[in-house]
Amino acid sequence: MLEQELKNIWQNSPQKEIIKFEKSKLLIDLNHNINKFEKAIRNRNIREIGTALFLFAIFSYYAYFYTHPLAKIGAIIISLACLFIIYKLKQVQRLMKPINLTFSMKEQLIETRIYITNEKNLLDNVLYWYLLPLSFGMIIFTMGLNMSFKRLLISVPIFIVLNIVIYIINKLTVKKKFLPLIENINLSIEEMEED
Amino acid sequence: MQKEKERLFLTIIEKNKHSILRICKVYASKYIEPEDLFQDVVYNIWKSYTSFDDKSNIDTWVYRITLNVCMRAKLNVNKKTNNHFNIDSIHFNQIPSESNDINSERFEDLRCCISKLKETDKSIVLLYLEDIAYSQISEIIGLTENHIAVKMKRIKKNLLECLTINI
Repeated sequence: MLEQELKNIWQNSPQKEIIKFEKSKLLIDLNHNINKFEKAIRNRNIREIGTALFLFAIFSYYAYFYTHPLAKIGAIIISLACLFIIYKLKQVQRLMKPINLTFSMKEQLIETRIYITNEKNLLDNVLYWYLLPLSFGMIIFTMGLNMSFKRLLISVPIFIVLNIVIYIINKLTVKKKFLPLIENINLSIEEMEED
Repeated sequence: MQKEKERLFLTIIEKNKHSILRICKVYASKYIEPEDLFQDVVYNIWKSYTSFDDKSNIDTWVYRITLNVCMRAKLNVNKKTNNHFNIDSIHFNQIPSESNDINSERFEDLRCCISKLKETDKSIVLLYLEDIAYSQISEIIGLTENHIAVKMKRIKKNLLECLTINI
């Protein structure tokens, strides 16, 4: 079969549908979707940072007003952890800019790999930048509250188990979602580079 | 200025709509319909339109976005956001066709053979079939022209073998 014939088959493919645009409405729809998407990202950022800020305010207040030294130390640790989480989230927001789809396919795949790897690292290290500082602060803080030993014995393990669950969920997401995706991107780049 | 920009965008979409849909059909899967991919492509063309440099070839630019969107869908990069576009102003009206239409069969055979290729090879051959020059394909894919030519030689061989078996 001649190459030109292949092109003809392809380009003259029988149209199974007519694509029609309502031109007056199309741009409104597109802009609406762009705004919706940007708003969703903005809201997510506000939500994440807002929560950390809220916790920072609450525990700064406790650190200032609580008299028990352990509760004070715990509240200070939590406040500092919140500041660190805000810093980390800001850093990630800066790093994770949307991929430019006008790049060449190879560049786009490389950029996507960087993006996904950053996202993966964030979840992979959740123990160090999120769980440990907050948990440590929380346990110290709880110990400083005037709780009975029995209540302490119940609440601390619950708190630890909760953190372990969050840690496992993040690790599973990395394993099931991000690692296969990075592998697929690597494979596509390798395929692209081979002759 | 804005009106002119909008008019030009609509012209570009109108001109390239069939090529875009043909490519989307190859990359569609059970997770994403070609029509959804098409909407995603149109959305991204408009979103990136401000960055379009007049000196660039508009077709090359459109194909670059189309293939990048399709490739990302294939790799399932945006698992959470895929398929969420609902652009009501784009309509796909089905045309009833003859089921034994010879052109349809040949096109389906070709599409079936293309879908068996590796992802990059698929993109290269799609551009080739759209009659894009090697120099432009090289720009879109991000490989040298020589590399594209070498790959094309192998892809054509594989494609012809597959079609011969199917016929």
